Amino acid sequence: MFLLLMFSSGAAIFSNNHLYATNQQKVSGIVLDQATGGPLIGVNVVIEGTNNGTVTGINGEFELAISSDSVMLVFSYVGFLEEKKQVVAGNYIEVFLTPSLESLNEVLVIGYGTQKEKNITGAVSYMKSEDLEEMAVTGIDQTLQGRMAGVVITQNSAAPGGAVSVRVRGTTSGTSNEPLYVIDGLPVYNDNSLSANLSPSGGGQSQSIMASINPSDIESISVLKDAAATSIYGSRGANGVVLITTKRAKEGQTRIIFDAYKGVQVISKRYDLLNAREFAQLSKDAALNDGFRPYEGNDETWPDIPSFINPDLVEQQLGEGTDWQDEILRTGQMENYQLSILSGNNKSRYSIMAGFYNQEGIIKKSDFKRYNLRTNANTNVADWLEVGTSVAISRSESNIVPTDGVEGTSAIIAPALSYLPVISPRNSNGFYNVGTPAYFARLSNPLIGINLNDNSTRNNRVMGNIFANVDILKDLTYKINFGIDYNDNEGSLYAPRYTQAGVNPSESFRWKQNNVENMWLLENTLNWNKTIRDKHVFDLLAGYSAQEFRTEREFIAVEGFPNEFNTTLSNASTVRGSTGGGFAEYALISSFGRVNYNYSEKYLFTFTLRRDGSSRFGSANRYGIFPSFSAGWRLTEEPFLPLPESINDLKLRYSYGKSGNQEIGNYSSSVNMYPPEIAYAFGDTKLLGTWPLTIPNEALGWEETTQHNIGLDLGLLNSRFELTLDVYDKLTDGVLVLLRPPLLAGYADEYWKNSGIIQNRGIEALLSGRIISRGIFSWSSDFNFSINRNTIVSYPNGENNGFPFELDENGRIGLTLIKNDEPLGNFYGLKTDGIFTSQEQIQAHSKDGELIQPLAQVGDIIFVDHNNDGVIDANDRVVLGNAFPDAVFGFTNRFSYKSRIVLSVFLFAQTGNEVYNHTRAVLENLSGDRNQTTQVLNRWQSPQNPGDGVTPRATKYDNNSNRRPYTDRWIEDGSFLRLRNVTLTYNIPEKYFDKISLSTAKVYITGQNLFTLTNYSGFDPEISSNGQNAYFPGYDLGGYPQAKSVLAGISVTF
Amino acid sequence: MKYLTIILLSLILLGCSEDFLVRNDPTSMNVSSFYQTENDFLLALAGTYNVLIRGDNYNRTFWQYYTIASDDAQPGDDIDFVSLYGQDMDNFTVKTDNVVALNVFASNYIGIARANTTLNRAQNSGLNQNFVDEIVAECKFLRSLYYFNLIRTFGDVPLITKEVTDPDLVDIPRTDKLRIYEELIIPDLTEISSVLPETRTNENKARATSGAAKALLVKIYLTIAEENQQYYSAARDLALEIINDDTYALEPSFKDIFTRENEFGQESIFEINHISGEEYYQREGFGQGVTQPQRNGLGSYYNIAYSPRFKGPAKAGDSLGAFSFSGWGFAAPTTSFDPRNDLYSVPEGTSLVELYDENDERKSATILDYYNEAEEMGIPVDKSISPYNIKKYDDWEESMNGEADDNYILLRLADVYLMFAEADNEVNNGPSTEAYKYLNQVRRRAFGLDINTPSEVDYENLTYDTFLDAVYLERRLELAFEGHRWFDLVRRPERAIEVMLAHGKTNISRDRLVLPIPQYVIDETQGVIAQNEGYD
Repeated sequence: MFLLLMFSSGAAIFSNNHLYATNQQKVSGIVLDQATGGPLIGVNVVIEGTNNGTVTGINGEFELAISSDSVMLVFSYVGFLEEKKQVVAGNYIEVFLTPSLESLNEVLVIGYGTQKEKNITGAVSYMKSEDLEEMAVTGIDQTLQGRMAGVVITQNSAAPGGAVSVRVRGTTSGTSNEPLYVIDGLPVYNDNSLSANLSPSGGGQSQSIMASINPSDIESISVLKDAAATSIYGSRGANGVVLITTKRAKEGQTRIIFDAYKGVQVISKRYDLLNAREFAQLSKDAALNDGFRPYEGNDETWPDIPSFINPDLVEQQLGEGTDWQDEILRTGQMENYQLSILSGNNKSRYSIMAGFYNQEGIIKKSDFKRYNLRTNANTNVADWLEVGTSVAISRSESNIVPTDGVEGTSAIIAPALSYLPVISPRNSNGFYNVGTPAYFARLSNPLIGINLNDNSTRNNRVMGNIFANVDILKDLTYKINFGIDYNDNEGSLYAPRYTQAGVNPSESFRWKQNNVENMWLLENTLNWNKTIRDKHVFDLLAGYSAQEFRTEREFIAVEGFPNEFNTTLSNASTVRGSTGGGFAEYALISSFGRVNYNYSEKYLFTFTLRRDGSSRFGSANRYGIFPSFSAGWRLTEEPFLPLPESINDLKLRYSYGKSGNQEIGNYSSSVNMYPPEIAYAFGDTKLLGTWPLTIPNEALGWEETTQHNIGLDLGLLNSRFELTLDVYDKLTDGVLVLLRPPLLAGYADEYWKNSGIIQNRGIEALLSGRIISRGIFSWSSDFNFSINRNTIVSYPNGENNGFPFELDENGRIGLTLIKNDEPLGNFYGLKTDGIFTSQEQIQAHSKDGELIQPLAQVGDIIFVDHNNDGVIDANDRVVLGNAFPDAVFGFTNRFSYKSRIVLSVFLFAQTGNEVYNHTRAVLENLSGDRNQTTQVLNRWQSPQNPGDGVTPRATKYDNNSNRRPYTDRWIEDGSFLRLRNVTLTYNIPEKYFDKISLSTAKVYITGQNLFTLTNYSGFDPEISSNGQNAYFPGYDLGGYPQAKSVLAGISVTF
Repeated sequence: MKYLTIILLSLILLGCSEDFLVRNDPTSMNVSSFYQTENDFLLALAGTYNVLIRGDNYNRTFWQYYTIASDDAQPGDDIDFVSLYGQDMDNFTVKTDNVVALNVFASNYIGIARANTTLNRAQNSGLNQNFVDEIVAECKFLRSLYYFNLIRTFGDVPLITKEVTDPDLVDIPRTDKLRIYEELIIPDLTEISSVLPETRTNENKARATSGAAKALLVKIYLTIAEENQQYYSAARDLALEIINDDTYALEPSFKDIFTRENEFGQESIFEINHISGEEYYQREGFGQGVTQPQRNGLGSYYNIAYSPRFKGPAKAGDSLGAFSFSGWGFAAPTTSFDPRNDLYSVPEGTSLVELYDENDERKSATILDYYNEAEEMGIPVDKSISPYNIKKYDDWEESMNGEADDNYILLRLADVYLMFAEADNEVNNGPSTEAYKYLNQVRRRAFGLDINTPSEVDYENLTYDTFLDAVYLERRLELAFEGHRWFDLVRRPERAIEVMLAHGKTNISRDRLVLPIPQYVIDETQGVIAQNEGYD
């Protein structure tokens, strides 16, 4: 091709000279790439209506002799839109060619292969590498947020390396709802729950297992959404499939790319907390309201805390007091360095990528580091044999400060916010203040947990595969692929004796866990590609694979160290409790096939079929079959349809099929014996005994999702505007439910059964356009939205079976009920109706002469007796909101000036979701024994000073249960609009680095989360303290606060 | 080369067999790989016996029911228990959501399931036939006992005799109780009384013997004979067989029966073996919302659950300052003159306490006269609590944590003597010499007399009716708090109603002689299991 160009160019120059000889007039100019601003070499420049023309030279410039004063020139170049320009003789013109973005011919990665976008009949979202590059994030899962219609990403924890939840088209499962990740053909382990276990200290903060993969290595991401696309992954496809392809070198290319960025982070929002005087006043009010004495400053171990009898004196002595947010927060930092070398010739191609990422979180001590190395190589051993490999090695290290959780755990956010402002971080001897005076709630100094606990995880991961492509016949290719994923996690906690995490406060202890996961995959596929008579295009796939996964885990807790310096395992004198661990494995054998057929790229059909055998399924139900069918009709190819000229592409799609979710646990179908324990004595010796734990369920199987999808792809004005619209209906049958065996069966333990039905229906759309693309300025825009509605169609016994429905003391569960015909994620609780402002009002709040709230006083909360039975109890609970958003939006705009300066702005929004703000329930409990937000300054204080009418009086004992957790007081609207990312890039003109053999260079500055519009009162509405748990989403137990960050970077290519 | 490569690669395709997909948890024993060796079956057998010591079976809940329902005891000083369930059981106002009823129902089906599974698996194990026969026989003994307890507590119950492998298999209605007796229990017990050994070595002394099977069968014959008189002679004959078997003999002294030294003594036919120890942990009970200790090592609850709820010395001889002792006071012996309040008193002449003769040694071995005893020990008497407590299992040497060593004797020879006397009186329509002999031997021992020498406490010159009354009285005095009184009344419904009415229980009726089927079970089977008459 290159040679051909040279040749034609030479010919053109020759003819050019010829014309020049006969006429003295000429035009000249330069042809530039609209997208990059760079010169285009070898562009054909032809005078319209003639064969006379030339091509652009090495600088993109051309000169052409013309025979008249003015001509129309036609500029054409492969991959770019044709451009026409009227030129006057003697002028120099600047011409920008717009990349044709022939996305219709773009090839997308699908399961076990690729397909032209225009021929795809399923619902597939994909992400361009430029979007990928803009986001400075730790994990690939985070990059997807807001970019794809129908893919909803929630950051469970904003901690460095923190986990995210990924939901493709809603929540379908009672077990795992995370999609399957396939990296370069290797389905990998993505269960964050095991990494969460790495910290014994609670805190609910899980680390993302995907954080071990460097986002900079990635070339493209496709997300398969409907059954037509996912059923090729059978029993693992129901939650969607994320296909990730890493960068590989192309033929004839040698590039060395160096990227670096560095930035800072600060907390994006803080709580306004009471200062020392306000707190003292509140504490005094709370005591006096209940007839107790205020704190009188008489605790001998706390000489620095004055009496609260006169709060003004507290201010005189302590000033504002301590804002504990200041104590635990810092300015975070992040930096990333990546060096990539890509090189290839017609025989071999390789890429080597090495990176280092380092983040120091905004909470002191929390951090995340990742070192990674990737090598991808392919070589053509013979003209019929290509061999290749991908190997990625990474190590990540993280110091964890547990955040999510309530007082009494080692989590630090809620306790730090409620720790007393009258206590200073250190006492007069320079030691940390520990605890609180006995008068107040038992809280711990969060700095002790941060600074003295050592809570860390380390992860080593090796992921790689080797494959061979064999061309058996002209159209028939065989591929064999063998891959492994080895993941070694280590968690360690050291808790000195005076920190909360030590279970026994008198002893320091160390806890250590090791968790090793091993996976291997062997996969064989045959591919047959054939076009018959230019119209019948066949692409057939048949495959067979076997996969085995194994995890081993062990842990130990020790105590009894000689001192606080020798705290390794070997220095401990005793083992605390028993050591433990676990072992689990599963195996999967699959065969699969796909038929793609199209007639003249007009009528498109795809059939897929997969048969999965899984060791996780019961013996009576070992194999599952997952078929799908889809069809597409490209109306623009129909000559008889009178479509307007402006429509260059119109495709209707329909698909139907089944896919499954095999995340049902490893041995759930088989029944274990009760671990032998002392059961009886036949004589004088105690004997062990055992019995079956529960009823066997040999029919246990996958959760099966049947999905219909109707889609439309529209391209307007030569694909300048594109619309993709999908409507789907997903019905998941056999949702796993934990059931109590019938009492008559005589088993005590619960068993798993496929018995729920959950439906998800939704609409998603992606609209993209090059709104302005002429001249020196361009503006392109991507807008996507998705709406998903979830319904529990059927659940055993109609509701809530097997799930705790009362709120536990940690506020962690409860609130959320499962009911037929209602969506998952509903919050249930009591409604409130402001506060009692008079005694008469309390009297009037009665039923048949009996007071509904007999213990209430003026200034207490009014609870609504919903069922009108005269008692406030669990039967008065109503739906207070839902944790899932009504709609999610992503809006990306990219502005380019002369292709030199590019500004991209990415907005992300979700609406209609509620959050249970447990942190606020603590920070507005008005007990006076812990710090509060300034909202409590609006409390009822007296009939003359009734406050805002919503905030109740201060009370130490709270006889009316104003602060009970399950009420609408703590359910808040979690809608938000966030400026997720702004990046300003300057592409340095080549003329500045011609001499130093750079081919491109850019510098950029990025701001992330610069603002968030929300009514949510907590740190951030995007939170899920219960992680990926399907049943209890939307809980804020004091998560790691979101940060806003600014960073600057450079990227150069040699 | 090309084709060689293809062939080599294709070979990699092969080699995955079906076994690849069979994975068992190596950290646990799987049901499908268990039940192979004799040791496996001994573990399973211990698990089947284990139900006897569960807190929701004899070791508390079941005991509570039959003790409090009878005229021997009423709810004690545990306020929660009394207000929740105890009062209802005492007054025959039990409701269908009663957790005690639920736990008794559930725990016996747990026992039945374990027995079914163990015996089914043993029969198919291919192990040594003698070993299998013995395992099967013991499972049948335990299964008979669990069914017997279910039937006499609830009436007709669903009959399950196989390992349950499908939840739908137990969605079955109740089977007529006589059918369960005649088609399952009686043939099983008859069969195993020739399979089980007559005596056991010391290491196996708690395991069922042929005598235990026979004694249980006598009790069952007696239970169904009210409806089918022919069983009286069966009961009489089988009881005599046990009596004439020199394996068993009465203890010379009544109080020796319950001492630690005399566990599995000469009079004992079957007893639940408790051993104190450290293991103590709680598991969620089957009752909704109620957490109950269910497995607690092998210790017994009899002393802590029924000991007085007062503070006293940790054990006898401790200094008075050591006020650390407190029982739970779930049940207290009835009395006609409770000094606290008339409400606690039952009609005169119907309380256990006043029925004992002054010289009857059984009284002091059965009942703790707390006010007097405390005074003697110099403990300040707390007169807000029940004056009497159950003493049979009150081992003051034990710590009060549910870890006592007291065994619970289910079947003993004196019971068989009295069953013989009753059956014989029925067969002959009046007492024979033999009937007098065994009734009087029991009575003489209670007064510390030689059992073979006629005495002034002997019964004589009785009619059929008065002899039956005498047997009932002796059974009540002799076997108090051993689990017989209530069921002795129930098996003769007219007597039961008469006695309980006289005892002041005006709610008693034929319907109230059984507990309601727990509503939980009716809901779970969606009504396939019907409720007992008179409950809704």
